[in-house]
Amino acid sequence: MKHTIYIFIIFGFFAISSCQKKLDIDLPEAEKKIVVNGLLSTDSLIKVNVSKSIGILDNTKIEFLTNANVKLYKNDTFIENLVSSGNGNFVSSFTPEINSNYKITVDYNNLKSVNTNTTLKNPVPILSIDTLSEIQIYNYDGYSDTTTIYHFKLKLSDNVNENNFYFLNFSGLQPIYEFIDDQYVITGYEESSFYFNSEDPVFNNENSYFTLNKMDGRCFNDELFNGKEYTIDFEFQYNKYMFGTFGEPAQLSTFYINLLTIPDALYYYINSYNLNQYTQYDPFAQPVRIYSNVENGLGIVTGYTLSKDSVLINNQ
Amino acid sequence: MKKLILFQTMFFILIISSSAQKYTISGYVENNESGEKLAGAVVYNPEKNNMGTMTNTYGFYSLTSEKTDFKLNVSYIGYATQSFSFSLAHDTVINIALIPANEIEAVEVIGQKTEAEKVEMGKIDISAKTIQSIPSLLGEVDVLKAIQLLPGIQSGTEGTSGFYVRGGGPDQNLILLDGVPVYNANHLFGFFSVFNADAISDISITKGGFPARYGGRLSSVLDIRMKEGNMKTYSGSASVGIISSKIMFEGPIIKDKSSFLISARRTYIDVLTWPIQKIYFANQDNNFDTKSGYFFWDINAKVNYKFSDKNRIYLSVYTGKDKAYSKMKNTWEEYIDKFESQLQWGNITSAFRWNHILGKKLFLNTTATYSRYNFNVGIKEGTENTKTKEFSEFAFDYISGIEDYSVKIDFDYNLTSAHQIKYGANYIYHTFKPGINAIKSTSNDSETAIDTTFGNSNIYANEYAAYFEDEISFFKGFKANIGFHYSGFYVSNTLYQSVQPRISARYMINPKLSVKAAYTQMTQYLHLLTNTSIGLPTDLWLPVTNNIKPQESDQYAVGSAYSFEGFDISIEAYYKTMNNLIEYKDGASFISGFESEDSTQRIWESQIESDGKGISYGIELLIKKNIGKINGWIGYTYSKSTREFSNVNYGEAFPYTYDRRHDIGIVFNYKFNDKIDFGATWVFGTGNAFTLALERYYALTPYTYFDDIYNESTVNHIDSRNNQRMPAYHRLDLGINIKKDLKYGKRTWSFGLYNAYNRKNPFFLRFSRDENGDRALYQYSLFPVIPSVSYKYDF
Repeated sequence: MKHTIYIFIIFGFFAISSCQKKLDIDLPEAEKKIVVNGLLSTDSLIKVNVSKSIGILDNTKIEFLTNANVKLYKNDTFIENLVSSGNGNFVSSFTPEINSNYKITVDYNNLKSVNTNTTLKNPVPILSIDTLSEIQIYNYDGYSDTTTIYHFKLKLSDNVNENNFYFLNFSGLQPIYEFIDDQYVITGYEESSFYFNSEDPVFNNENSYFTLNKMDGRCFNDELFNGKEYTIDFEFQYNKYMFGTFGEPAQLSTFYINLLTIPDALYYYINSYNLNQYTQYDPFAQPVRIYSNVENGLGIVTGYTLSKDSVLINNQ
Repeated sequence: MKKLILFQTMFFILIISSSAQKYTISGYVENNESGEKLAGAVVYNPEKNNMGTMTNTYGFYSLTSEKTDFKLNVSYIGYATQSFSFSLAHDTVINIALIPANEIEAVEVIGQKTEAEKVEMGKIDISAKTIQSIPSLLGEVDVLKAIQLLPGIQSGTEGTSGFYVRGGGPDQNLILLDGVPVYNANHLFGFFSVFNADAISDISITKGGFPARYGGRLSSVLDIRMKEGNMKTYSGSASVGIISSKIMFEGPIIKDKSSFLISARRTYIDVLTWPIQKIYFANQDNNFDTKSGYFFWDINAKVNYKFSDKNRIYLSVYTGKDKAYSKMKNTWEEYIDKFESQLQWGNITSAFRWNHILGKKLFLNTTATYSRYNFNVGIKEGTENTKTKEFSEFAFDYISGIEDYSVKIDFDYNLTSAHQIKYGANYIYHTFKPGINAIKSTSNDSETAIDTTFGNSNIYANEYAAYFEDEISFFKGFKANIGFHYSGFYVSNTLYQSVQPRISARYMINPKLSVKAAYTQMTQYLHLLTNTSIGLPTDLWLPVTNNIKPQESDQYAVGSAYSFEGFDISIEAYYKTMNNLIEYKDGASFISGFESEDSTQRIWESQIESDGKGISYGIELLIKKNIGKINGWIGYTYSKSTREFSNVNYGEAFPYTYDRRHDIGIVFNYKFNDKIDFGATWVFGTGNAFTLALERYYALTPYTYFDDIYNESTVNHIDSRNNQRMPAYHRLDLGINIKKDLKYGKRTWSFGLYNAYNRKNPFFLRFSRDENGDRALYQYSLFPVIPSVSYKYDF
């Protein structure tokens, strides 16, 4: 809204005319906390990162707690001590199982001990994916360009009697370039996220964007379809030059749709994290505390389970 | 039900018992010099245990007594007491004109009814004269800043006029100018209020123990009455200050029958800076011609006409406007580019009032009012080719506001000196304008013209209320004001209703000392959408909706008052709960609150939480000296105020932004003689609560891969909302008035010093980097020591 510009001008006036003073007051010393972050999935070993919070005016580097004592429990039974692999990372020798509750406790010197837990739910299956493509040709100044819009309808069946939370990722194979003999050469293809558009009401939240293990996407909940089948609409606009960074048109033949079933903690975390980031420089915004499921500490330990499907396309 | 029957029985017994062999004295009490009516004057019989009454808001009194030789004393603060002795053998009308005390000598001057005698709790009266003696920012006398010095009433951000009563929000104050609600009482973003002290007669603020006649807001009623205009002679004043000039003129239209008053003021910073701007841009190496500035003006006007002793009408109008503007013109080759922008807002309030004495005991006041607040921001830009005459123009305007029409009827029924009844009803038709965008684009190519409006549609609502209030002495020393206020609000096919009981009681332990208690329930159907602490014109008044329920409060208060030799000492404790409060959601900003791609949606509803609970409690002490060479007051408040929302701060209660543990206001006035008086104020307040991150930590971010190297993304940790306190606020203001009688009037030089010891009070705090590149916390302050001078000429 335009008028906000004027408000800023006026506030700017006050800011200029106001008097700035560095405060000598000592901020209350916040109790330093153990910070634990982890993202569990059934295809990799359990790994968490452990660090320590620092004071807001502390200009030193944040410390990783490589000597912390990190214990793993499965359904309240002790499994093992996680082993430090450097940079604050601690690794288990197990991969997590679906529907088991994993509790992680961390002790470190005089800091207050923390614990956190998470359960990976059964992945909600993708029932079907319908695709419709639409070709748009643009002509300008003697050139023409073709954009293909792929419309997707993803059908899922939400679990009854529980609140479910999801994360949708859309990806495809993109070329891997290597610089060989003074030129970039495609040496292969890897799955990489694409940005998708959606007017679907489940995405009526601008704070839903996140990246989980390199998967860009958006989270949503089942508020609109709790316990029912639901079809999500989204679209992807493809232009053959859009990934041809080095003049080589992208070769797309398969799209992947990754539907992640996530715990509520991750959903709340993504929303609060984004809101915190969007508003941290807005002096008029209400402050946002980032969600944490670490008792006595900070951070988030959560995970996801994956339902994957693919769609073959022809871009000739 | 049994209680109701008992109450009604007592009521009728009292009416019957009071009807035997009694006569009524009634009339008006007015200022002898100006003919203005005096509200709150005490009319009593000193030979009958001071049996008496007070004049109502319009100066009317009615006193019933047995057939007897009667002595009638009439007193009012600042006036000489008048005494009359007569034999009361029939109903009698006596209109009394009191002589101002400073015009006479060797007379006894006593005050109004003492604090100890009043039944009301939490009500403080201040005269315009007192307010004018208080030192002020830039010499601009300000009603709202004066009341911030009273206990239980807190200021918001430095220098602003917003006030917070007993832990309530700024939207919970009903500000009435001659009985008409004023929705935005701020000039210059809250640094001055819209009330011109020259046009004001008296002010009262009620913080608790609300009588049933008041409703519609939870926390306070600020009742500001304009002067009526001198019925006897022409008089006026003109003053010149640092930022504004004022003029006031009043006098009779028909002597003793009709009078008028008009006052106006305007700031002139813009006019003074025009030549500087002109010179600056003339010396620039371009073809820009720019003019920008800011001003506000306001006008108060009032006329009244007395048809007879029983009928009198008044018409009062206030209108004012603030405007910030910028005009830019750039000439290049054969083209002229123009750009204009403006930000303006203003109020209009008007009231037509008819006072009618229906009988010796019954007084009727009928009022019809109109109130409008508009906010408008607009830009206009265009290009013209001076050779080809081709042109294109684009204009954008954003308009929001609120408009009210209302009618109100109030009855005062004075059964006996020990029993008065008030009852009445009112109706308000609200039009809320949450924001309209207008776009207009024109050019010599008519096919491309655009003229469209879009935005939130207007919301229309009906609000109505009825009340009954009974002030009665049950036995010697014990008096109570019992009543109820019924109100309803109909909006978008939804009807909200409430019945709010009100009771205040006082027991005189001895003639100087009383104890008091009160319980009040209040309901409020309007919300103010704001998340800044200063009075921005973008603040939006909005009604309750299907989803957003009315705000409600319950307030309990106990207290004691002691009055002696011109001193009033009162102490009050209160406990207030509030429900259905609104608050911006986490992360919401007043900027984003206005942005919507689909502006037909009521986006403001999606920006707020509306299930808030508030708890506020405290103790207030007021020591006030009303008369004498030295007068003023000392006010102290100890209080605590919290808020709790299910989706804010993860459901945990947090301190209200203006939760202020200690608040002190000291006002000191010393009159050296008739020519020189000195004033000083000192304020102290615990720092405002604000939110500050105290820790940083590594977080899971979109860039965290958990591969070989942990991506070091840090975030600030906020442990809870309003977790920190700004440094304490304190400030000393000084002022001196030097008067001199001239041949045709009197001149006054006023000198002031705002923030005399140059305290750097916090406006806001934020993190920044210091000279070593280290993160540091910085405080920003607004006002250093500011001297002021003004000249006033009274004639």
